[in-house]
Amino acid sequence: MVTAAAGAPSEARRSRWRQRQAQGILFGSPLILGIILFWLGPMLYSIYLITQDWNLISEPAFVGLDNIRDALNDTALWSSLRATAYYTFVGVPLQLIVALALALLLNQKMVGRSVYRLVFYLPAMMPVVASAVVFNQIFNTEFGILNHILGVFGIAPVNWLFAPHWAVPALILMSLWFTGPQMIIFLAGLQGVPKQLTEAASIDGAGVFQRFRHVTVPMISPTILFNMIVSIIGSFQVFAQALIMTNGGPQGATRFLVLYIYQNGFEYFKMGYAATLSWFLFLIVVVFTAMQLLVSRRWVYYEGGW
Amino acid sequence: MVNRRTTSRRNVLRSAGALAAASAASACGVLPDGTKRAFVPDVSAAGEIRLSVWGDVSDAAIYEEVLDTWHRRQNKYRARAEQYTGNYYDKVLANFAGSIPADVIYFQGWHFQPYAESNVLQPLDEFIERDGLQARWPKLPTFRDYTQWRGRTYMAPVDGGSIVMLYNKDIFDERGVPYPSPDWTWDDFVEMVPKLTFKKGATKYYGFAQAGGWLGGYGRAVGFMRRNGHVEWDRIVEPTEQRWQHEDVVSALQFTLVDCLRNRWAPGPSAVAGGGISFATGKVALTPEGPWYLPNLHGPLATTKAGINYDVVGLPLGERNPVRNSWSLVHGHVMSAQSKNKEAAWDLIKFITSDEGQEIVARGGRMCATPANIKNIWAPIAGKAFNFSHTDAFADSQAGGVVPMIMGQGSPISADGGEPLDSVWTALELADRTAEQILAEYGPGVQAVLDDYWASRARSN
Repeated sequence: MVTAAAGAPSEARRSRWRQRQAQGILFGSPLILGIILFWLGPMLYSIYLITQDWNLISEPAFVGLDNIRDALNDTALWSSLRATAYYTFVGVPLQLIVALALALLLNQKMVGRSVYRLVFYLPAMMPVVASAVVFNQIFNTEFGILNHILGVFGIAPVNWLFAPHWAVPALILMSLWFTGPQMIIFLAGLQGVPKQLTEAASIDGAGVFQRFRHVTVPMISPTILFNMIVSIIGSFQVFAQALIMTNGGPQGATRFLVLYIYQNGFEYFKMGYAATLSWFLFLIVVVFTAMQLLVSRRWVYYEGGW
Repeated sequence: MVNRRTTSRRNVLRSAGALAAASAASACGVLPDGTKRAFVPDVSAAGEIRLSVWGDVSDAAIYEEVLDTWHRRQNKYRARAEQYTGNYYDKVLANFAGSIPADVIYFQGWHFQPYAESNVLQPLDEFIERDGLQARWPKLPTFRDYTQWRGRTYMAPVDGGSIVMLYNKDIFDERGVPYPSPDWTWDDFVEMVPKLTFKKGATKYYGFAQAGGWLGGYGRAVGFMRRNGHVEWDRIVEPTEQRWQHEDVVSALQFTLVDCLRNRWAPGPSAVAGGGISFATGKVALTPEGPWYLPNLHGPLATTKAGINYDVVGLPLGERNPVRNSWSLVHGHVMSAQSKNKEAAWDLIKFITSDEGQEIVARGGRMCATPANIKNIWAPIAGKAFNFSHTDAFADSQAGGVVPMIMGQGSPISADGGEPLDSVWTALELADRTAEQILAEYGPGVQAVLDDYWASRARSN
């Protein structure tokens, strides 16, 4: 009796708990199903495709490790990787510097600060296609405003999108237009820097640069790390602007890895090979992210310890 | 205690779940031939077939009229058109991947081969023979290459185009240069272009442009490269060897790209991209283009209000072994092997290729595919609509035209270009090296593409 009496409320609680769990799962099911069907499912299927030769039209055929072997011997893949690495490792530091500089400026007390923040964030809300059209005009060798400005300083016109050695720098310049999200994250980080620390540093005689170098940067180092990881992942996935503005040219200079994957999958009908390259890209991103997290222990400061 | 008949949260959730499960179950299914059907209604089963058409505005109007007329002419079959605007082939491919291809599908003559190779298209030979319609497939090598794959006919020629030379009569008159005659040669062309380049006030006029509004590409240059009969491949369909270092290929690309761009006889990439300099704006004397470009020159869609005072002529003949080898394009319809109503699909294809169907195609602004239909149906309509005289140039070019190349599945190169041919073109457009140097650099890469193509075939076999 005692056991039964004590067990009854507990059983009712468990039943209620189960009901709540079931309801939670049911309410969450659209998202869960979406992830399984449209994210996890294709991901797992793409692992299967690594061993297949599939043209999307007929049945996949087992080819063992041929796709991996092809990738290792594919010179176009390596030149595509070089282009992607160039875009990433030159572009990301520049993006972070510009975003941080903008965040520092917009963290100052000034009239119309919110408007400026909105204005600098706006380009990030613009579709890449629209931006690509605008930048096509900006980079135009004969009629573009960029060459016009350079001409004022006596610099000869640059063949931005048609010369192989200028096309990637042009797309890097364009990427600075989209630094709004990084800027907002830096801004949030800067607002979390305790005022008493900068004030104490000032009292100790630290100048603006010293305060920035020894107080601000360490305090926002987790934000820098986050922005760096996200930007590197984003840069490895650069696609739309290369497809629209240069279609991988001139002479393959902007055929970044994701564009090369797209071409193999949807232009050459090599879905197995495209899946192999996608996992190759995934591994690269994972390795770089892991390396950054590993190295970050040396320079990222977490107030609560880590 | 009052028993309130309210809908409990649990009941709502149960009902929603049951409804979702029922919908999913009813939408999924397996077709009689074992292919899986995705979440789409089975229109073929209801007696209606699907026709996929190219995404231009003119195509919507053409196929609306085609279907209306076809429906009036017979009561047995019904069809509806699906227009895929932008990235047409991606959508066709997605339909095949999802086992829901349209019954009748529009293709350019050098794009359907990978599908035929995968056995997802229906050969038309038996239908053609049964109905005695062989005459609709002209006995020309071009039509054989564009409509057949490995000896079987898959595509019905519906519309097309051939590249001819457009010339701006006002610019010729201004410079006192005689108009090109039908027997003009490569040497005449080379001599003419610098003479037709000049400046009047602040406006620069160019002697030549590689295409109307863009820099052209491989297919556009074929007529110049093959002017003396040399072909840049060992064969047109699935070549095994590249022959791009031949003097005719080198001289054609050296003049039409490197020399013209270096000497500014032709507008450069940025002038074309951002400056609006093209034949349609009246700033270019000569440009090789197809019939689809004519609406830009005269009529309600013309780029300039007054239109262009122009005419057309075949591409220049070769200087040694005079042949005219311009790119002849043939587009048409194929039938899906999965179609549940092949007789209806064939009946529709038959109608589109009939004189009545071809007249609708011509009235809608597309050039008919066969030389006979071009001459008899399209030319009288187009000559009047687009205000030019030498309509025969198109029919002749289509009859004597050539195919750049045809490849099967997995090839990165085609008549449209592709890598590394696109890189050859961007290198030529830079004009900082000779065509000979560029072709020597990229030749091995072009050969490697062919070698890879054949190696992958050997592996699959």
